[in-house]
Amino acid sequence: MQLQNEFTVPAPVSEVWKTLLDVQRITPCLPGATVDRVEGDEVAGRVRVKVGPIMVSYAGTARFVTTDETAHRFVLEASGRETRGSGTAAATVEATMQEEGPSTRVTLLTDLDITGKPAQFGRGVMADVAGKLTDQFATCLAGQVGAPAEAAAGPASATRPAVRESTASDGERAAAVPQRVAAPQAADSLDLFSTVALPVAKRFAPVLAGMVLGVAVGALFGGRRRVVIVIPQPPPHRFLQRTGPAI
Amino acid sequence: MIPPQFDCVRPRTVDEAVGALAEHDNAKVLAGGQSLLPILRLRLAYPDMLVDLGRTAGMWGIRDVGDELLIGTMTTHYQVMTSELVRRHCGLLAEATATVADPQVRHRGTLGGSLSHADPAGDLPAVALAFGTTMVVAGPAGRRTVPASEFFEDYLQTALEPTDVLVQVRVPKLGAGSGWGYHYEKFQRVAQAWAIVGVAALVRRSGGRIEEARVGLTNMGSTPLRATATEAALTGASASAAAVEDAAALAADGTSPASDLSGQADYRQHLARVLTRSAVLAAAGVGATGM
Repeated sequence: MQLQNEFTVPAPVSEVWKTLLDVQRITPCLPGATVDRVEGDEVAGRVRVKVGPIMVSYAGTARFVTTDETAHRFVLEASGRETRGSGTAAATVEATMQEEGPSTRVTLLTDLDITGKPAQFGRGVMADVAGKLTDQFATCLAGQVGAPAEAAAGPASATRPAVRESTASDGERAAAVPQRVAAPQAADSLDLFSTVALPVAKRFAPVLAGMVLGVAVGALFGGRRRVVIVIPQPPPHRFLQRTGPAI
Repeated sequence: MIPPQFDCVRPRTVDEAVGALAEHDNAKVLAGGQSLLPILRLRLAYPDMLVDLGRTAGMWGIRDVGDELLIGTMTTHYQVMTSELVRRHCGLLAEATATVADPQVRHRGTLGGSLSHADPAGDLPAVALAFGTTMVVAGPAGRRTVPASEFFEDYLQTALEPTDVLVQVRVPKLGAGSGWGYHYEKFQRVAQAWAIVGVAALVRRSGGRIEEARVGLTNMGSTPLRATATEAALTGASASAAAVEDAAALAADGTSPASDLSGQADYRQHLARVLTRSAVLAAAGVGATGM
């Protein structure tokens, strides 16, 4: 499905461009996202999307396919699979930036492919979630663009308590902050679709050792034998389709 | 599938329940389980701890407290819809609750659970919004009240923090006794299914005029909504089919419903208008052909 999101940052294009490509300044804006490893152009990490009681975690990689500084445009490809489940997510995000007076308008065009249970929630919910998370990200980004670059562990804005940067031992627990998507301060969910949030940078976020994905990626690249378990997809549950009896 | 592994605790008091939620990072309240357990079985959520309110004191019952009914949130749908107090004073709530799912669900599911789950396709959030219900929430800092207009924040998200428990609901007595007519119009293709669109109408009529109207919309957005344009148009309007029709034509204004397997957005908006007309006509006691 195609998703389009836009946001405006009160800063000139060059500033916004630089900030978006600086993982250290972006990462505080992505509660629920963990960067595990950066290898050249590719970032491996995990992302947790939470909507009320429902939570889906993905582990995957993101890669800059195109970076055009003069046109202020980049294209990012990301793919991942559910850490607990059999679904996958793949997204191609094209970000363009346009100067609008003293501000910059960032437009994100996302081509998103979701399989598995989250896919059954339908375009409406996903577009809604994407929209809200983009707004959140934009607000945070605006704060970041103004502030000087900080150490990755520190949250940028004083109004956002407890954005805990994941550490090696913290893993899943660090992402479990209060769940509200609507409140930028307290949310712990990430816009998976706006994966400009995992930009590749010449300077990169600290590598977090011992993470699940690190092991998974290592297994894939290390040539170890993988056991593939095929789980047959259950038919779409009527609860999710909302055309069958409630349970 | 079976739910992922979880621990369970059954607090005896509300304070214990709040304490248990505060103590465990990834805890979830279990009321009737009619929404939560399917989510667990589908493995869409992985709480480590379930706080079962089945034995918690002070969360069950229906009491008349003057110009409101105080309803404990662990009161089941069946108890709400068969309660004499509710039928007499808050008839819309009884009528709408009777349309929820099927008898098995109504005997286990709770009013509080339905409101806290905040599925916009659920019938009760829209009804609570139409009534202007007040939610009584218990949290680590004590009790606080949240009006329904501020309670439903987003799809499946409410003003409840992870450490909060919705303990009671105060429903204003908008019933026959105070001049209010009501009707809940629910449209579904399959019996006992979720509403494709639903409309909850409360109309206060005096003589030949509609003094006040409240219209709640089910499944027209990521939260329950009020059809404010229709409500404004109905205020002071004559209690006639023509006036109601004109007002109902505004029911979908400002809404952007989702397109999904049950219906496209424009179909939903059309449904909202048609159902609002039916619901308001019935609530106002106006025949479809005239006065």
